[in-house]
Amino acid sequence: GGSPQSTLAPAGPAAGLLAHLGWVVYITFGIAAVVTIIIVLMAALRRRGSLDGHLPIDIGGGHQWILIGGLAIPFVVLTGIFILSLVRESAFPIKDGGKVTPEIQVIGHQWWWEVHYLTGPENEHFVTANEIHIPVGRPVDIELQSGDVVHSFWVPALHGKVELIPGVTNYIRIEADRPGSYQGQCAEFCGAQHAHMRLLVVADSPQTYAAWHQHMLSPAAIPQGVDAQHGEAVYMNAACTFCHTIGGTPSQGKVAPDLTHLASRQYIAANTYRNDTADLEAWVTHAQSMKPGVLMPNLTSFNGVDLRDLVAYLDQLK
Amino acid sequence: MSATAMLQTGRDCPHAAPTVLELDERRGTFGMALLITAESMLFVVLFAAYYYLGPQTDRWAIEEPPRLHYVIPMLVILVVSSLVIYWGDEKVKKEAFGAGKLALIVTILLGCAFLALSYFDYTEHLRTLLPQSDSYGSIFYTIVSLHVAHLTAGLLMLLWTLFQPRWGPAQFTPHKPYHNAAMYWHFVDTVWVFVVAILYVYPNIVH
Amino acid sequence: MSTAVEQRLTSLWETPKTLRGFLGTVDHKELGRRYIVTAFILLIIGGLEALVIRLQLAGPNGTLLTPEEYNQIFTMHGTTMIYWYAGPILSGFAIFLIPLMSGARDLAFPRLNAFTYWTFLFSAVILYVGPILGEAPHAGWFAYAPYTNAQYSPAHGMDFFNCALLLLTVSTIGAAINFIVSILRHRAPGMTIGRMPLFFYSTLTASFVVLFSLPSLTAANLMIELDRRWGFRFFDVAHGGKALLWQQVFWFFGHPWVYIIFLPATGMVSMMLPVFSRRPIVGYTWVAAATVLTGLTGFGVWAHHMFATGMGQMSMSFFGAASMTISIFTIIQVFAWVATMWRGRPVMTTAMYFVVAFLALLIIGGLDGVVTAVIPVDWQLNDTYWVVSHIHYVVMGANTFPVFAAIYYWGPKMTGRLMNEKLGKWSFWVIILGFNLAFMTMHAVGIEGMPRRIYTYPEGMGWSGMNLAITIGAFILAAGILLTIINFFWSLKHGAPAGKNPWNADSLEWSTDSPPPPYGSVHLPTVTSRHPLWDEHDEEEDPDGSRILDQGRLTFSTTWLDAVPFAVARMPDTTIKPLFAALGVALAFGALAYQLLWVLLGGAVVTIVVTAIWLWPTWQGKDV
Repeated sequence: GGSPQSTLAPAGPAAGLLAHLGWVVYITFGIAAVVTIIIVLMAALRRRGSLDGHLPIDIGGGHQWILIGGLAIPFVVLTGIFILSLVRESAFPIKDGGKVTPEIQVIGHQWWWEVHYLTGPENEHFVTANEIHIPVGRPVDIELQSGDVVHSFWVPALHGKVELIPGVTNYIRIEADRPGSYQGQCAEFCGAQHAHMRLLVVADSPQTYAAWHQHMLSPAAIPQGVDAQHGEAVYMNAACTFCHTIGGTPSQGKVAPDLTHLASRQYIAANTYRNDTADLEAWVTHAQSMKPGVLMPNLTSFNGVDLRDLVAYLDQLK
Repeated sequence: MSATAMLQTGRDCPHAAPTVLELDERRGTFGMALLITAESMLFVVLFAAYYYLGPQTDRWAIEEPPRLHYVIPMLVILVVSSLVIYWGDEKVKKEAFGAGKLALIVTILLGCAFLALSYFDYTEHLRTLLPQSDSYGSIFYTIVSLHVAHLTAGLLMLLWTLFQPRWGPAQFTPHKPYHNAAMYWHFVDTVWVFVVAILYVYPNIVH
Repeated sequence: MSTAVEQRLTSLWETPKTLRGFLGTVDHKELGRRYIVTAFILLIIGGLEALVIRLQLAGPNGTLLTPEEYNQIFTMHGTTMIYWYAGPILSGFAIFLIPLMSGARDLAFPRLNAFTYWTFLFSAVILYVGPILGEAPHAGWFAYAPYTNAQYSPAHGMDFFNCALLLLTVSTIGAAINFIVSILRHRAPGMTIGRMPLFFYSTLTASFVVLFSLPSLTAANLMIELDRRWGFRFFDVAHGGKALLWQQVFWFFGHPWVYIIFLPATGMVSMMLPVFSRRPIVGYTWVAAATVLTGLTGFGVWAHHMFATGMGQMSMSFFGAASMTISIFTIIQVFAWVATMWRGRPVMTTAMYFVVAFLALLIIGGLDGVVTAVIPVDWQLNDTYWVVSHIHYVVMGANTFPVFAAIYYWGPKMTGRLMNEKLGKWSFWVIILGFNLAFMTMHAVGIEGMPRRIYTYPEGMGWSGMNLAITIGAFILAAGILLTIINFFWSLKHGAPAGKNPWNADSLEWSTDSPPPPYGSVHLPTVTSRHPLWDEHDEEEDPDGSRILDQGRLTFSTTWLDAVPFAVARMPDTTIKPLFAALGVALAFGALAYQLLWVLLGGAVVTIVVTAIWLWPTWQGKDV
């Protein structure tokens, strides 16, 4: 359980069930493997023969090995495991989309996550990316879709995988027991940057979550300082607007992550780099060397002041 | 050294006496049957794909079912040709090679008639539907065209058989060409029955 | 020293030692060796690709490869190993062994045999044209649509992948037909269905599985290629296509393929293990039945690769149950082997080391596979290194270990010289150490949440140490394999002469010289038990010479159930027509990658014309 993505360090009921079942299965089959291998080695080594000295005689018998070891014991063990797995499986309610009203919709893209919050009336829906906030202690239903190829939604501490498939709508129900940031990543190979299609689920206390949710409804922060105001102008005159959205501004591009509250997120580039000034500057100018193949181009035409102010503008989009 | 045995031996094997054994001519027939098995699976998978793609799609065959005025005559042609080549095959087995040749020629002509009609069927379909139109167009033309390709292969086999100087027991090559080609032709015809039933007739019934 | 009969048979069956003989041989012994050598070279290529992968992943934030290069190399590794090594190497052994084991002079269709070898070779060439041109496939060996569509994979890599696979399906189906007819029609008189070597049961089952499952791969590759280059819409969601169609059609082939590359290897084990246990196998009928049932059930488990796609609970449970059922058939075989050793007196040669290790690895690989048949657990482990570990325990443990055992066991039959036992055991211990260090560790890193197919990983994930261990294990494993390669070449020159039957084995191939003469046995053998060389009868006792069949290239045709001879089959002579037919087919499929319609049609015409000449019956010539 040392990894932040360990499947045996659950932080919610679904992953807890899976980890528990995992332990049962690992231990059962681990014992079965060790015992069987010991039998194999004993059979091979307990008495030796020689090619010339031992005639190929058929002393008959041995069928009880097959009946007991090959048939009876595995049948009992596997039936037990199968029934247990059916019982566990039925504890996962979401199978059929008809009865689900998802709070969140996640759309997988090469190589980032578009996240829609769907609670409340339509005008209270909002969009964010790569960082999903949920309240602790209650289940949250998520609808999963793909915008291009097959991806897979996986936050091991909260739940197993569910694929995001073009033309198909899948659902997953996650719940966190305690506040924290839970790492995940795309689990189905989806192209050059499959390795860097990472994801963060932040579980907050209900109060913190409500405040966050309320904040997300607000339009983007109005830049205050001279630098940031200049940075906004740089942003609005650059190619950024074709792809990115900043709520309440003319920048309404839809093919890349929404930046309205960019500064409130912990990471950039689908949770690949820390969201700090240095990495943001590097990302704007050299995305292709930080994440080769990503849609974000290298924007090298900014001069030093423009770049500094642009990042200052982005940094205050809390 | 060979180890002395204490194994129980089964009943004795019959001793071979090759002087009275004839030449094996049906090895190729066995191979052809297996080839047909594999080829049938290709069509089975494509029919399954047709059904998998079908439901929940906006536009599918039952919206505008394919017209039948060419394919039903085509079906009749192939069924008749199967009967003819079967008759010819039986004749050849009895070494009535003249009748066999007649049956073969008739079958080839019927096959050509099928190809001609399928040309008209294609051109009519292509006016409203392209393989690139949607997934229905894709699977429809893939199945129909693969069938035409197999039918052409069958025709080539029949032609190949026709041009052989004789169909008697072949001493050096252990095949029965007439019978094997006929078998393949029956397979091609059977596939067409399924194509017509699944791709053409059923959508019309549901419609 | 050879007698007149032997000389006559040699002149009938020998392939001329000329260029035409080299290109036109139809001798199953030569073609079997070529299959094995070609597949083994592909194993080495795939292995080197694996080492590059492991160097990239040895530490966090690896920079040896660009992401695209990594994706190409892991794709080539998986594709090479799964399709071009694991299946063909077993075909190679089957081609070499089936006629010798059944006392026939050759496979049922020797020219088809040559054709399938050439198409196999050309398909490998087409696959590797991509990397040479810098456009390698990059979507993994199961190549999920729609990532493989032209929109997301515009380079020609995926076209080479599809076309090479289409050609390989032609080759594999051809070989399967040849095996089925050979096994069911040309067994030695008296080798009834109940006396067949177990290797025949496994090869027969795998061949039927090929006939029923490979066309699904043909269809899948055809559909994606039509989508890619001809604008079809099978996988295009915007035009009524379905992305999941690929997964369904592919896995309907893909899981049976696992049994195609596994079952014949178990058949080899069922031949070797009883010989080294110095007794007949316990539960012959159980093993035979389990083999056939595995093949059948193999068609009911494909969707267990898709538990994370949002399937209904009912169908998931069905596929989960089927996956557990199929494991029971394998466990039955395992315990039949255990009982055989237990009640025998095992002789621990190098081959037997690999066989025993195969058993241990199969148990691990089988059980860690059953773990993923427990559906909720699979939701966590699917697409992690757990599955990478599982596939290597199964495919390497249950295919490559028997193959290495077979190299030590049957290699002397092919080369005439025994391999060095001491070096063999060194090789074994190095391999087993490296293998388990690499792949046992992968289980752990999978549980710790490392997904497969990522080109790198950040620091602080807790995966770095384990990945370093895996890389070290991989290199140790490679060194062990190198030792066996060295052993092979050393033994070619310096190995002790093998003689007819160095292992004192029971099956008919050991009644011939090592290497066998072109015609196999002078007197086609007869069989009165499951163990012709262990029983009392002399399978070559033939006072009137009625089983020499030296009036031409002839062998017996026998009934499929009771193996009563009912005819003699005439076998073809050396011919280069299959080579040209294969060239035509390869040209046609290769042209598909660049949509060269006229080249494609040209290839088709060449194939048709050559095949027409190839199959043209002949009526004149020597009398039978």
